[in-house]
Amino acid sequence: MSEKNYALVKVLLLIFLGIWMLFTLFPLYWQLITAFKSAGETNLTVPTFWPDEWHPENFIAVFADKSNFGALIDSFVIATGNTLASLFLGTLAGYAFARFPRQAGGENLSFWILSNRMFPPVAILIPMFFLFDAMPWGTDSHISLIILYLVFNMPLATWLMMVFFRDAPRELEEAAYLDGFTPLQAFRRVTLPLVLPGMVSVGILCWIFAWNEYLFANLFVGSAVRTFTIVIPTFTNGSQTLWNLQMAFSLIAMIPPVTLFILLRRYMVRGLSLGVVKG
Amino acid sequence: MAGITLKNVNKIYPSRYGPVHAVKDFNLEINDGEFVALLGPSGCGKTSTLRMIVGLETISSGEILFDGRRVNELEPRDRNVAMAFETYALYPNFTIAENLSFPLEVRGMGEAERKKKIDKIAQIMRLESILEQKPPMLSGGEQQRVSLGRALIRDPDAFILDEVMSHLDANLKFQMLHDLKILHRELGKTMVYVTHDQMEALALADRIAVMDHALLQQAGTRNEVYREPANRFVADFIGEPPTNFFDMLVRRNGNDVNIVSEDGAISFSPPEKLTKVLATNNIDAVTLGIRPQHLGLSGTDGKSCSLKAEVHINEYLGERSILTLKSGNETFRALVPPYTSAKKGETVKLHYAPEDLMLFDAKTTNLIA
Amino acid sequence: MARLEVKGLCKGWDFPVLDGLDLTVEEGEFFVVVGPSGIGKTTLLRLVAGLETADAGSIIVGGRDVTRIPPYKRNVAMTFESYALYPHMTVFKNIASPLVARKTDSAEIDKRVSEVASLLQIDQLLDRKPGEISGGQKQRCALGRTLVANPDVFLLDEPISHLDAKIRHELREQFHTLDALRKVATLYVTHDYSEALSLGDRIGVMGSGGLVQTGSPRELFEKPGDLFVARNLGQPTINIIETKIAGKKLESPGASFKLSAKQQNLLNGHKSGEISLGIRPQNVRILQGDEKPGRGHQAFKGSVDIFDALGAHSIIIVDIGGTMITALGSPDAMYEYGQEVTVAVETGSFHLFDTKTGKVL
Repeated sequence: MSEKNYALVKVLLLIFLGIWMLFTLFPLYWQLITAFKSAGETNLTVPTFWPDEWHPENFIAVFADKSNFGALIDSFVIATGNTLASLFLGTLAGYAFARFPRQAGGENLSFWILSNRMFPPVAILIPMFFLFDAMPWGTDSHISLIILYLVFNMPLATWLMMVFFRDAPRELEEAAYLDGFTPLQAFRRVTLPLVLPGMVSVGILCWIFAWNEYLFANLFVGSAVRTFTIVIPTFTNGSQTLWNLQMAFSLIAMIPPVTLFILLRRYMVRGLSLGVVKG
Repeated sequence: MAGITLKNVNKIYPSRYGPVHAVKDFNLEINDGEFVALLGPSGCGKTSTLRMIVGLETISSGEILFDGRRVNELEPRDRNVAMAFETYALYPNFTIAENLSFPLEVRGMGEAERKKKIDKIAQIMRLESILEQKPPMLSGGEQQRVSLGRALIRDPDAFILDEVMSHLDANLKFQMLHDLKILHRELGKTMVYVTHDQMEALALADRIAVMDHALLQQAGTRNEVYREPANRFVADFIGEPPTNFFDMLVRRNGNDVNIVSEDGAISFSPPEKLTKVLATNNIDAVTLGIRPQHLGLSGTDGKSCSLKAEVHINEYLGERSILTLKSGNETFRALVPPYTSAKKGETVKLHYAPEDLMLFDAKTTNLIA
Repeated sequence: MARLEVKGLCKGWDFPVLDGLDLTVEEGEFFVVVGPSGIGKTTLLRLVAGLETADAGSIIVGGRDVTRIPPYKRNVAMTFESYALYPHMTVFKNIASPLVARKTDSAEIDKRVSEVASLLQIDQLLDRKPGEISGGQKQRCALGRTLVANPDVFLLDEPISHLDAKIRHELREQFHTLDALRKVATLYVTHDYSEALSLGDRIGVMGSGGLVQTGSPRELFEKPGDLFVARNLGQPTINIIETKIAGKKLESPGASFKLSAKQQNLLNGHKSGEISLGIRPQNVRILQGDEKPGRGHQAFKGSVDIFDALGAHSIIIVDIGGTMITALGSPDAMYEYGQEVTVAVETGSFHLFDTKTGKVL
């Protein structure tokens, strides 16, 4: 490629990226300014792109109802519980599919598990409700959502962990057997550290799904347990939607996932296992 | 047909840690029809050089000429240079004949003419019997032949080969070396062969350009690089088993010059030619190199000087044996006939011809001649 | 400390890989299995290590039948062709791993690891991770991991074939001088015959299914019992000339080879009359100028077909009336394509094989 063409491609790429950024950042910007507006200002026919007056007290107002804070806790418990369960089951299943494909049901079974993830959730909404309602802990509990979300997160975790385990050289485990470690010890000492970055990524994906889920939460829980997603629509004043409070609350709800992401970012860098063999 | 000239060619890559100078002031003239090997360890800049010749990489400064015509600005496809890679890069779903025909079809060549060309290449590369098979059914050696054939078929001016043998096993490699030699003989095209394997370079090339640390260390015929290496690096890189090196001191006594190890355990007498040079210059520390094949257990073939050493290992290798010897603090190797029965701990006398000694200035590492 | 015995070992997947392989490696013996790639050498090692289960046959280490025992209870150490170092652990931890598995206390681990590391000259690298060291150093580290725990049997899978020539020489020297390796039963697998000849106390040449011939390096190289063995040892490959018995001679297109009385006796009563004549290239040389063939040599006129100078020696392929013969020459010689030359063949060095069975006569 000549220098001139190269420069042209670079400029086009920058323009494209600029437009892309605009699309992705605009909603965030809108959320932010709306959170600081007064209720009146959010309902103007001609929207303002910068608040006339700043109302930081919106962020306190959302906690007027004390249980709103509890909703964040509930969401956190459910998301974390589900993530741990997904990772535990997904890691074991993924390992089995990667190392013993024939004994573990082969390609078909692993693909069938993944296909569960592709099923439209709405289709199973009602049957699921009745199913969980029949359980001793009912629908309105942490455990019901933790289990329910497994339907979506476990296939994802299984499939991704399978891919990571396939990438982790089998010979390393074999070397550990010859060192004198039992299969379980070898798995813990050698294989698990290798797939840890992948596991962290999977964990974050699962956690964010469970954190953000609305459809099932709205139907299943609401009194004993409330997730923050079902709290957001409750910020209304009669028929008037309080956009500013909704935005303020959702901004607060964004803090945990963003913090999580920043804290775990360095584990998400794949490639620890690159260069293990040869090279 | 083309001769390739590289004039003060430089390649500088920008990087996070500042610019990386991958090729420094490279000057080389490759004659029309010549077979030149570009030899060096990984990371020495040989691949960058090659990519600049082909046009896959821009030239930071200097120029590259094909038959005196500057090609710096030409796109790869306009340079009419064919390149074969380490990986075979064949289309697995097409037969060998189709794989070969592809570069010709792209150029809009008629079917009859294509057939003629394929037959000719197939004959040169011994592919006639496998023309209708598909790549996955072939052995590594066969696939590599097809890949070479495909690079050749469009009749390029020059032919560039990048480590094409590095993953063939020994026997296939040998076969392939022959194939390449015959190919060069039949086509008479300029060929540049990039490799890190000195054996391949010695076997194939009319001339060898040895690179290290972005610099061209020496360009010369097989005998030049083998017998008169420009510096210690070249002497070390070329030859198998590796050249023996000794850190030595020069002792002058009037017109007589001796080369002695620091502990005095080993001494060598330099050839007359070098005695004169050493008597007049003021180099005190030298690195002495002698190839294992130039140390023998008998004093024939002009091996008029000798030294004593203790046998450490006697490795029988079928056609030959390698003795690993110890003398003072030095360990070195000698290549001896396979029937040698010297045992560990035995002291033997090793003979050498003073002409076979290579002396390098310990500071600059350059050959003293 | 133990000897390794392998009896009638069979293993196959879609096709048999090992078919009744027998092998004994004495305590303190360095046994090298050499054979072309893909012949099942690694499978043999993996079976002995316990990473694969045998279909039939038995593996006995020091009198104990370990055929059905899992790898972590066998006290067998193995290096992998890919080194298989743990990327997330330092060199120290990699080497210490077998000791950790055996629950050795940490002072003892420190001592043993530093001993092994200094033996292998990698003591400076103990804090690095495998990604930060060179190929040769990785191999030393892998070797350290196998050496550290005093196993009963060492299994080494192509430990040096992927390294540069110079490091190969260094490591070969290391294998010769490591007492730890020379004290126990070592099974070493390679496709490089020169490694095998150099290192092996005994060598087994592996063909499809099992070992074709075992013996000392000299036995195998000088008296190959089989065409396969002859072809697989030696570089350049031995000349194999297809001939027919014609009285006291062997005839091939364009050349006839005289035989000594002893060699003629070998041919007595041979049925098919088809003989594969093996001549090592180093027993063939090109005569210079008016030089006459020496005693025990037979001369042939021919023309140079291919000439390769390789630095240490040169290889000349000569066409003697339709039969191609490879000769070894001095590195300084120069020959042109088509040049008329005379080659002298050492008749005493002939290897005679039955073309049909491939066996030596």
